Amino acid sequence: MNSRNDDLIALAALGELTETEAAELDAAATSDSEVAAELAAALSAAAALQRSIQEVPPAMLRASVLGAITAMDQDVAPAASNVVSINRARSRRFAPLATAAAVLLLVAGAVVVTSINDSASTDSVAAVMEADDASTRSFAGSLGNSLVAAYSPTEAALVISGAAVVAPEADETYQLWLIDDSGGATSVGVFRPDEDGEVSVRFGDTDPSDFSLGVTLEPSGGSAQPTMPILAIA
Amino acid sequence: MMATLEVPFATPHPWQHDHIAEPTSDLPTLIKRVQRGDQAAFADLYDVIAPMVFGTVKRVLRDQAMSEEVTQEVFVELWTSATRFDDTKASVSTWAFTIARRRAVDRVRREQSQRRRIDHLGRRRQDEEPLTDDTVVSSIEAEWVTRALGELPSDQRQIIELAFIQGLSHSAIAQQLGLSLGTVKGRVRGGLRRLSVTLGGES
Repeated sequence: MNSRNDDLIALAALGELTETEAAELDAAATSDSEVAAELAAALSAAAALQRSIQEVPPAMLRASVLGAITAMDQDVAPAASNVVSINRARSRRFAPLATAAAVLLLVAGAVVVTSINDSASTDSVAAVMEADDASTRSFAGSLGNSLVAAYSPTEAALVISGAAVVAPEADETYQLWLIDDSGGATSVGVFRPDEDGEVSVRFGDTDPSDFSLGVTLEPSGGSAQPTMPILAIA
Repeated sequence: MMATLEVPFATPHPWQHDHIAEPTSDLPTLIKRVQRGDQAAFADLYDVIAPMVFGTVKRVLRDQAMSEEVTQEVFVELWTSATRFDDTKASVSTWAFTIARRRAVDRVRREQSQRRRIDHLGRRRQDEEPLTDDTVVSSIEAEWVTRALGELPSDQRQIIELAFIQGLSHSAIAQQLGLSLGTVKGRVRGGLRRLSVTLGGES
């Protein structure tokens, strides 16, 4: 057990792991049974402390909670197993006419895309990535291991950054979605990697804190609703 | 929604059940029913663990209304993610506590960011609602906690109490005590390890 893992376990018990740290600890616990056992023991000890200090919530909260889950499916947050390969997504590229109709319904104002080759844009992406309050998430899926999302409340912006991302065909684009607990998807915008496969894009006025982020491959211009399987999820 | 830390928990230590038992022995049955989408079972689960969840959240947030909001978020996450719960890796209450603490800390971070933004705009900072120490002290019901905490070295006991009884973040503890972040994390880790040894004879 090294001191780094000790620090991460302490932060896990405190509920203060960042996304990156959580992934690091997850990997350590997966590969080292001692770390897994130490983590379990620390979390159990912290939970046991808390079980001795309870406070009954207001009665109306019970009704509110039970009302909230009534129409809510379980395990609807897209899991890694729901992520498909880009090739499989492409096999569905020629969608039925309904898809074309959906594209026509795309609300222009809903999509805000920043040119990835613009140096000013690069600076604006860096501003979010380097903000003191930036939180990051790593995407899992078939768009490479480097794709990350970062959100800064002070910048009021969400950025997507990555390298070696597979380029869509000329008539395709990647589209980023906010996915809520009920599985509803709201378009954030569309993006493409540059000729070197790098993605660096900023979406303003987008707070992903209460959502999963999903990326789909869509017809050029984007879609009103996802028409393709999810390629990457964070 | 923040990603949930998915870790391969080891089998819970015996002391979890011997010294400060799960709120009810029906929890394993309840969670299996919840995993099948049984909302009545979820209502029963709520009744059993809500005081622990709300207590965890309120220790961190110190605000009644915000604690109620976050507690609801916690239970929604417990419902939606129940199918991923593995009872061979953690107890139900450890699972719930982990989600509750993380959600509460996330809310604190968001509120702090929002407050910084408001401060930046020159608006007046609102005073925090103080933690009601009397409530905390009077709600410590299990003797074993006092006993186990009493066996910790004083420096670890102080940190553990601030973190898990008072609900402070490690940075807040560091600031309050004038310690480095690394020292606080080390004492949290050491304190929890000693508690495990004290209560279960196993680290």
